[in-house]
This record gives sequence, C-alpha cells and structure tokens, in this order.
Amino acid sequence: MSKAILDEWVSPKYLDYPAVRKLKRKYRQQRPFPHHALPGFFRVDKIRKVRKALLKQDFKRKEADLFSFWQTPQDIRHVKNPTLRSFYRLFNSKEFKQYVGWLTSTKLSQKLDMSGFVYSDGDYLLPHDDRLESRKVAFVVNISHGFKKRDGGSLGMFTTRESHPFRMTKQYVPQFNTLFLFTVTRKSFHQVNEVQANKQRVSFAGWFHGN
Amino acid sequence: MGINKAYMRTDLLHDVRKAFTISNPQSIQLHAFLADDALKKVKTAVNKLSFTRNYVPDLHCYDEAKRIPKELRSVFAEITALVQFIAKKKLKCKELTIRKFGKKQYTVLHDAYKEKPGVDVMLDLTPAWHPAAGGAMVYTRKGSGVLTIAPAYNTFSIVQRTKSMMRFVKYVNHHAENKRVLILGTFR
Repeated sequence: MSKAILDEWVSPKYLDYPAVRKLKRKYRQQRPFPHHALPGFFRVDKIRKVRKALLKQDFKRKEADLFSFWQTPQDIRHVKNPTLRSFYRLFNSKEFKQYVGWLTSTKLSQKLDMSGFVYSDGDYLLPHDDRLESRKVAFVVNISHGFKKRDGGSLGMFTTRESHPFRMTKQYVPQFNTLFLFTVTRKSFHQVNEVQANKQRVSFAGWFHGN
Repeated sequence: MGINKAYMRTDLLHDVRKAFTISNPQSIQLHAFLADDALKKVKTAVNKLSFTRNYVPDLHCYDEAKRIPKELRSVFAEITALVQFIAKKKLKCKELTIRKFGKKQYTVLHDAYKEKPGVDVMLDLTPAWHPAAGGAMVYTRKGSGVLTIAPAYNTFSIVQRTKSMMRFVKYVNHHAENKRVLILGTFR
C-alpha cells in the first residue's frame, strides 16, 4: 500500500499495522451492526484547517420528512477551496479507498459521494438505512466542537426487527476528528439525534460505492 | 350546533366552496371552526381519552386515542354535511382517528403509507405553538411539498388528496411546549 497520502493525513496510530489489524477484526463484532468509530483519526493540524475551510462554504437549508439540516449545495468534488479539494483527493485516492476497503472487508469502486453538513439547534436526521444503488460503505467525519450528550447531535444506531429499526442501542456523542465507517446493509439503521443546544454539529458525510 | 354559526351562512359557504375548488391542491382552512360550547365539550372529551404510543422508528412515532368519543361523533354528523357541500359530492367518513404529536414525534413519507385517495379533514386542537417547533402536516406531490398546514387552534382543514399525493407530520423538536392534537378523518 502506497502510504504517502495516508501519512500526510492520517494519525500514525491508525497506520500502525498490528493495531489496525485488531481494529479490522473488531469491525464484524460491533453491535448493533458492523462499524468503526475512530477518534483522533486525522492529523489534528490538517483537520483543523479542513473544518475552517468547510465553515467558510455556503450551505443550503434542507428540509424533508426525514431531515432538517444545512448541506453544501454541491458535492465536495466540485468545491474550489484548495484545502477542501485536498481533503477530497485523500478520500478519492486509491490508497485511502484500499485502506477503507481493507478495514471494512469491502470491495470498493471508484465512485465517491461527499457533502458537508451543519446541524444547528432543532436539526435532526430520522432513522434510515442509507441503502441506495451502489452505496457500500457510509462514512461520517465529525468535526464538531464542544458537544455533550445532553446537547443531542449523537449518531444513534438501531437494532433491527422485522425489517424495521427497533431499538437504539448505541450512541456516539459528536467528537472532533472522529471518523465513522459502516457497511450499508438492510440492517444499518441509524439517525442523528436532534441538536438540542445552540451549537453546530459539523461533519462531512457520504458513501464509498462498490460494483 | 357544533360548527361556528358563521360557517352556516349561505353566502360564506359558497365563497368557501369556491376557494376550495380553485386552490391547488384543492384545500381550505376554516379558523375558529367549532362554536365555543362544542369546542369545550370536544376538548374535555379528548382530554379524558387514553392514548397508546405507536412507534416504528423509520415510519412514525405518535400517540393515538384508543377510541373516538361520542361528543366528537355528533359534531362529525354536521361536518359530513359541510364537507359534502364544499367538495360537491356525496361522501362518507371512512377513517377517523385522534393523534397527538409531542417532542421527537413524527411521520415520514413511506410506501407503507400509500393511502387511497380521498378528502382529508383535520380538526386541530393544538394549544399555543412555538413557530419553530415543527409539527406541520405537509402534503407532497411526487416528493415535493405542495401544502403545509401549520398548527392552529380550532382550525378545520379540508384537503382533496389525489392519487399522486402523500402526507407527513414534520418532526416535533425540543422547542415544542405542548403536544399537537389532531382529529384526522378521511372521506370517500
């Protein structure tokens, strides 16, 4: 695996082979469905610049039955800001896709979707499984500051019963510089709990696709 | 008499029918709908009801009354005549339910909710409501919102729901100080 681009962006602890191999093994055992929650994933100086660049972008209000949030009006691949372009290049690189594919034991194709999101007071994303066309692995890069459990905005994961989400058994409070990965299946029901504070939940999210 | 007398005036009724007919989608909202006495009786009866929680996380979360009180049934006799006049057709109330939507409650658009077309009616008993709290009834046509009915106390709404239309109740967020109380019926 060519590591130059990974070394530039990823914290050394996530490139240490024995440690990462342990992580890979844990993936399938994670409940309620296979996922990785990787705190401190990116080099801090890099991700701080990315956050700053994202917050300078325009966001569009998105409201539907399932959600309420602010989203970048176009996929990050079309954004002109050099820092964001560079961040996108990492995700779109063969090396990073190989790394994610290996960590999740999933064969990925070239296609990638990535948007920036801000959830402000009262915003939410209701339970859904993300299944659509060729989506294989969903990712969330949380870059929020100062969230406590009572503030909401947690990523909640559900068990499944009779094809519907049943009980939320895991919640991740927004934490700066955390990467989430999970395989998109009929059981990958998740939600973003309503933000209940005057705080901004800032993230990138999208999907690695497969054939 | 349950319905506000003003809505029984022939000239006003014709105006209401015209407004319903020319709107797209066909719909009308009638404010201060029930007369004071009837409103008091219906509210008292609804407040005494027991509700059960319906929760399927990817479909809906709301509380539904276990029964329809007789005070409401008697008002619905008058309502049926009114709806028939406005929609210009003979109709029967085929579905009637009472639902409450409090914080973190909602319905979503889903194939599981493909309802037969009909004339929807909604009597809103929601007390004071924070405008940013959500809870609106939203009608969509092919995925796009075409009508939003925000919470409004003692307001009666009539909507002609065609085959291509669906509806959902927007998630109620933490700004809500009360529960949205809706009497929902469908005439066919």
